[in-house]
Amino acid sequence: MRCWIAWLLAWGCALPGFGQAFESFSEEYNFYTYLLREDYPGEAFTVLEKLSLRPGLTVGQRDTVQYAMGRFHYERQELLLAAEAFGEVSSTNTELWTEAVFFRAFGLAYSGQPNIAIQELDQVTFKDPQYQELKVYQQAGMALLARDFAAYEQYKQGFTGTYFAFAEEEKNSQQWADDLQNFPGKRPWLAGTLSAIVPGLGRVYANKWGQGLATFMQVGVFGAQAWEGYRKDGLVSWRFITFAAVGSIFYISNVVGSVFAAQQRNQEFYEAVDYRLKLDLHMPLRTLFR
Amino acid sequence: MEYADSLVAKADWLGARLAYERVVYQTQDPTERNWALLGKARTFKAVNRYAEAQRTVERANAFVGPDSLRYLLKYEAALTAYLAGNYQAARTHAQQVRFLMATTPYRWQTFHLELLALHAEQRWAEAKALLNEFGGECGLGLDAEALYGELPKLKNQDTAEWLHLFMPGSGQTYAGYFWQGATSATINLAAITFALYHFWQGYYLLGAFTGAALFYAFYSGGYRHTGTLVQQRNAKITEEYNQQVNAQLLDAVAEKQKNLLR
Repeated sequence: MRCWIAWLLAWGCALPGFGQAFESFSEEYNFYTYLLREDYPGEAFTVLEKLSLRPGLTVGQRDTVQYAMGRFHYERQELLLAAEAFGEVSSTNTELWTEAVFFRAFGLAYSGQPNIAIQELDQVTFKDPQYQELKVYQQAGMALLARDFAAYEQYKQGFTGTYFAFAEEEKNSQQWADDLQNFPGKRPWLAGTLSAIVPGLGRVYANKWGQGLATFMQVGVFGAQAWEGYRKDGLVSWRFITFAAVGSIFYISNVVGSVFAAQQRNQEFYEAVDYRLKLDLHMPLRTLFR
Repeated sequence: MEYADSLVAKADWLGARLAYERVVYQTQDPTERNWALLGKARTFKAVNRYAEAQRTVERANAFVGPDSLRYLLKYEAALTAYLAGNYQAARTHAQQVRFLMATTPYRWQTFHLELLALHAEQRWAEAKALLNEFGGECGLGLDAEALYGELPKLKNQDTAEWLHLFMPGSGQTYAGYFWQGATSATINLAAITFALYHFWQGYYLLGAFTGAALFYAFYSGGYRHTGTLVQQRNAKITEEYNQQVNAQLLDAVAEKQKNLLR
């Protein structure tokens, strides 16, 4: 008996990081939340990590730790890490698991993996009809992020608009789908050509009026000085050669820059729509799982 | 607490921080809580995380516990605030020892931190006046006149910038950078000459778009540069002066400590 006690004591002391006897799980978990409240996130995470390594945790305790890790990363906008941790919550059909499933899917979609998120959501079913429809809404939004309009149309059939938490977002999704499908896009070659004809016009075409005007002024100023040099001193003069050379560099840059401006404009449009889409995917989660 | 202290001895700073915080979390005894916060602040200080050390020690209730502990809390708060560059907070904590512990032997133990913070804020005249007033009581054995000597004269940024506006380059020269001032003056002169010459010759576009534009660019750039140079010069003057004054002050503090131990 004494040997057993001695062995247990020795084993307890040898555990990494604990040094002293274990606090109870709930005590340690409360300590973690206390550290977060006191704004010591690094220390809080250390406690959580150690808690996750503790031997003999029940499934419920392990899930609690993994969920907390997910939330920890989620609050710090480390969404891929959050998705990883949420994915470790294993006991299905609990409130914790439901939240973990949605937050994981959102984390994946936000981090550029909407198709994986859609597939994962496909594999789960919720008893609560509200969550079931939330799942469909999330998949529809993620399909738009993946630019899969056919899939969006399919998922959209499941919208009822009856759940306050995401009825508005369901409506909005049609707007985002229309915006994405109807956006004509700016053609880079056209922007380049326009700028070749009138410096800066390509940028104006790309909705960058300020840049267009500035480019026009730059090329115009050098062109005017080259013209002045040519008019007064002729073709072979340092004034004409210098300003014609510098003006040409600005002119060529203006053409190339307009091509990039059109591409950038397209990218900005898609980023803006994606941002609003992600916001709409996020809002119901914040409302339902505060 | 012993466990946390043992981790400090092993330089396991993170472990010690957690152990101290666990004491803070669990204890009902405000004095023990204060000791734990002091210990935790020191673990931050050990790894040069002064702002966090300051925040931690400021969580303590410095009105609770024996005088020795209350003093240590305030001292650590003043020191970490000073090291974190929060000079006003450093002065406040140091002053609190002087005023709130006036009847204890600790009264003058943070006086040097108050002076150091004033030096860092370039408020030497106030520091000198303070040392003049309390020099006898504080036990540092320093003569304010001898210590501070002639106070450094800092360059005025507004003056330098105004000078530059009237005569490009003169602001930089005033800031103590003669060659940069001369270069700036030459460039500005060249640009304006270029502009005027071309106007005179009938090259109006060239005179305006190149000559005047270049002059404007150098003139306004020089204005901003002048401000930066004044700041650089003042930082240098402050550093040199503080190095010398702080060294003497810290020597006096060390001497005072030695005498106390004897």
